[in-house]
Amino acid sequence: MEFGYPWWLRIEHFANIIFMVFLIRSGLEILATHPKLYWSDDSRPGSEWGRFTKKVMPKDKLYDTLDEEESYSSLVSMPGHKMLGMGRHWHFITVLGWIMTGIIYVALLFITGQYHRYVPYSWEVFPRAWQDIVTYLSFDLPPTLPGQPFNAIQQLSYGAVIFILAPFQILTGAAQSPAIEARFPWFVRLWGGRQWARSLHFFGLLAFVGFIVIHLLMVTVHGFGPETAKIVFGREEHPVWAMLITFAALIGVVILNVIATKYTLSHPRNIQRWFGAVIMKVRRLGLHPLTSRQNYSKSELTPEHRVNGKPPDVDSYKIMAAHDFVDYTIEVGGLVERPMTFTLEDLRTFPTKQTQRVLHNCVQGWTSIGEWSGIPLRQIVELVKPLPEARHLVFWTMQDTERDEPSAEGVGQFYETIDLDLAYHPQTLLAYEMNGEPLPIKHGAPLRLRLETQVGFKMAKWIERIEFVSDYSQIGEGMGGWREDNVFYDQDVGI
Amino acid sequence: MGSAEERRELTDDQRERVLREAEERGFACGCCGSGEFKVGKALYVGFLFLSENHDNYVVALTCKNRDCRTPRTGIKLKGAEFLY
Ligand SMILES: [Zn+2]
Repeated sequence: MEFGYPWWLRIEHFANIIFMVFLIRSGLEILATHPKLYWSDDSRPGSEWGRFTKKVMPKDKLYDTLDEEESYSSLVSMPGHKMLGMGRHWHFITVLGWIMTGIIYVALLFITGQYHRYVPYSWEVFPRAWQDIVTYLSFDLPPTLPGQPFNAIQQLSYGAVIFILAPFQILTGAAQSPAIEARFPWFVRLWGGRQWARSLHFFGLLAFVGFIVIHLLMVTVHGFGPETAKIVFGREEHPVWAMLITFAALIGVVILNVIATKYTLSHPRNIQRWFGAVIMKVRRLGLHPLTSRQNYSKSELTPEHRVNGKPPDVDSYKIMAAHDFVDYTIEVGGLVERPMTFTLEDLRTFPTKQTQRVLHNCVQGWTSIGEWSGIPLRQIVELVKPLPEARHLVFWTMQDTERDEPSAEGVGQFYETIDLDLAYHPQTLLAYEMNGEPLPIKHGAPLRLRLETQVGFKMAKWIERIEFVSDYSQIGEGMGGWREDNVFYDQDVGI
Repeated sequence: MGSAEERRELTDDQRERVLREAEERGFACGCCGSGEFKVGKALYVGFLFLSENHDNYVVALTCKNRDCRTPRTGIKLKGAEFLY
């Protein structure tokens, strides 16, 4: 067969350039929000092997991981300027496009038989590939393999990028989804843990960047005109036109990035609504059916579980805490048949105390393993009996974000909403104990939510009221939670 | 800091000093105005709360007036004022 550069391959190649650029830039935005890489799921401060920040945290005051966040330039990350919510939207919408492109590409490779060009059929290829590297290093061009468009090292590197590196990035990315981790804890362990997966995903990024740099270098070494002609026209003709079209296309990619970045920075709400509509549909369909089945061992518990969010800095809360929360009550109401109020003692004496040892996934990327005890939320739901029109639960907290969380953008009472079906999940818990002790203040005392298939910010702490609603568009900015309203996260965050 | 380290039980001597500080400041129950209290645990707030100085505590006080409707209150003290 003839190994050419058919039209579909050339279109795919161009689409891939666009997707890769957005994936890399938005990935760096996600890294910026917690610019540290670990080998252990404890994410213990100071234990990071990789560090992309110079910030130093105080020792005598509670700090949280919002304080550790970095603001990168838009030249590096998409969109830059500490916009994790937007970085996530771009990363996830792009990865959907990239995976679809990849599936079509691989399918066409096999249908047309073009895949043979990437598959070594003899061990002979490996020594030849080494020989090719030596040839390049002596400023010469190695010969192509017989009957092939590539030399041995090209065949091996293209094959590895398509059939190993790309799936590797998808799998290490998926291993960072709390819903997937919760349902298939073995899959996370397969990678050595959640932080291993995150670190490996970063190495995947380096591998891609390394490949792109060498690829561009090689195109130049082999002759920019003729090489670009193959990918523009499908054969070595009109090299000058090919170069011009290539440059125009690359400038086009840059302009696209500039426009997308500027628009994202100026209209984040639109990006959140449009991309969120697609991403959340995929998540609800694919990830909601996954229920948490985690049961980490006691020896795996993180000695110092990391924190996000600061406790209510108000005298009434401190006095209540000094009295061991004797005066605490939680109201459960809204669209229910029987609104109820519980004291902490009521909740503690519930006959169905449940304990679970689970991996906590912060939206920023760090993790910790904790043991939580409390009442399964579904039992409260069954007691108050939601009306048929109830669709979501709103968790109102005692936190005033302007007062308590100066590191975060936005003001107002902190709240989060969850979909009603998640309230029935077996490991969705109203927790009042952590690691066998009463819940510490910094972790949400006296009562917090545990929602093991979603990222951490959904798990409201310092809860004072639970309200059942039919929709959340009239609450706050209408996006389904304080972080959704203020930092543009999605309402559903199974990944 | 776990929940056990957040709140500390006080010795009789420390409780005495808390009551003396409360009296000196003319601290009264916000609900009924009584000045008689039982001293409870001391919550260390200096680390956890942004607005607090490093040495601050909130000490639990319970109003001794039996008819008081919100008997549980608290006073903010520096550790040096009652701990040592
Ligand atoms: Zn009183």
